[in-house]
Amino acid sequence: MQNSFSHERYQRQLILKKFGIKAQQKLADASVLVVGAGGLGCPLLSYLAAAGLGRIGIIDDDIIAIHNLHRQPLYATVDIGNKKAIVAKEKLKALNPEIIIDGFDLRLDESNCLDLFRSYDYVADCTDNFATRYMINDACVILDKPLIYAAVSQFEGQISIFNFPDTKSGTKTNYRDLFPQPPNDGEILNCEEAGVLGVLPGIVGTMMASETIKLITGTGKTLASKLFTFNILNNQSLELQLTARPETRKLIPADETIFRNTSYEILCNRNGFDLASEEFAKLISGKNTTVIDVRELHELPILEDINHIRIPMSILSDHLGGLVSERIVFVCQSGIRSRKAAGLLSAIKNPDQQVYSLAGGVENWLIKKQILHHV
Amino acid sequence: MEIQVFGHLAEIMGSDIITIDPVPDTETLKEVIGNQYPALNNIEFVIAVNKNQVIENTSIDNSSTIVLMPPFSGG
Repeated sequence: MQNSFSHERYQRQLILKKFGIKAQQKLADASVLVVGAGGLGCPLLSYLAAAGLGRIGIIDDDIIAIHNLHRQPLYATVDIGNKKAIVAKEKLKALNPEIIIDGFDLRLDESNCLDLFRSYDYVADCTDNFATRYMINDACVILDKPLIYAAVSQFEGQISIFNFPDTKSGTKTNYRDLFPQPPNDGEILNCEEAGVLGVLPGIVGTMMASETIKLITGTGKTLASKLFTFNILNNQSLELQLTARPETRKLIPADETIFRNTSYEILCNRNGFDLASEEFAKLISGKNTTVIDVRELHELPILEDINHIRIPMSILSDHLGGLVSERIVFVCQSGIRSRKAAGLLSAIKNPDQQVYSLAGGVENWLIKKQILHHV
Repeated sequence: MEIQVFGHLAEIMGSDIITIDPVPDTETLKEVIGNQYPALNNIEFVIAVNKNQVIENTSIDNSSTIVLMPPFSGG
């Protein structure tokens, strides 16, 4: 069924020869999920709503803070402390009551991602961290969903459209064709750490809106399989043709079950829990460090000559509340489960508590211990 | 030979346009800039030649437009 729209509201774009009533109808019938209602999300959401996009989803679990306002003009000073997804929904509803707006006050994760994406035609990545960016990319590849992507850094922005055939070659590319693996933790600073001029995400987010509208209506040339970069300091722009890498698909979870069991937080080591063996040796020789082995009780070798307690991963969540030492180091066989454990405790820990994961696990520690003892 | 660099790579390399002695291909380019700027060896970035992303070793000369593009994360 075709959604109806007010001709008066969209009159200025309806009279465009390259747009018109057909394009407007395509917008009215389309749905877009915008992940992140921050610097990029605000302009994208505003222009999509204003243009008459039929159904817009907003997902964000963040709260409006005063330092958001310089680049997130959907929000006013009186909105500080309120939920972005809820306030954005209200503002967009006031802007255009003729369209459907869904507000999701929650964090996108591996368990809700696929079902949410499935109920929209397009997804837009307006997030601010690599863990979520790789998760969104992989989910879109698995579901074969077109993805409008953008990211900013200080004075520069990048925009592309992934999973949509390039008009010339017909090939589809995705974020992992550009950057196959997430960068090392701390390698790339986000806006919080590096700063951003407020107008930059405004320009880039508005370009995302323009690309989304072109993509949906088939108007003009889009950035499918192209990476557009813009620098607001010198007004230079650059458009690169992307190339599909043969190995990319192998890096993405093969199916939905594997996707749901992937931890993108751990993959991107976003929280930086990893502790090198040398640092671990120092910590355990001092006081106030509790070492917790999260391997199951049958797993070998036993961690000898280190005071530790064993709380297997299978029952860890029941015991997290009791872990109150000043410094806690989780260990496991190879450092993967212990990182997950550190992530779990980190979510509920008190602010003064330090939480680590022994990098490389017991296996690596036993090798390093020999070397350290001989130094 | 001129290279245009973007994002934080410009901070690492000291400028958004770098001049190096001519190299025959992109693999040699990586080696040369990696020696000159060791921080680049642990960093993800894309090399583009004449506005095309390069995924295999590609011949370059003085007339090539060479770009180094890192990922951005901000939103």
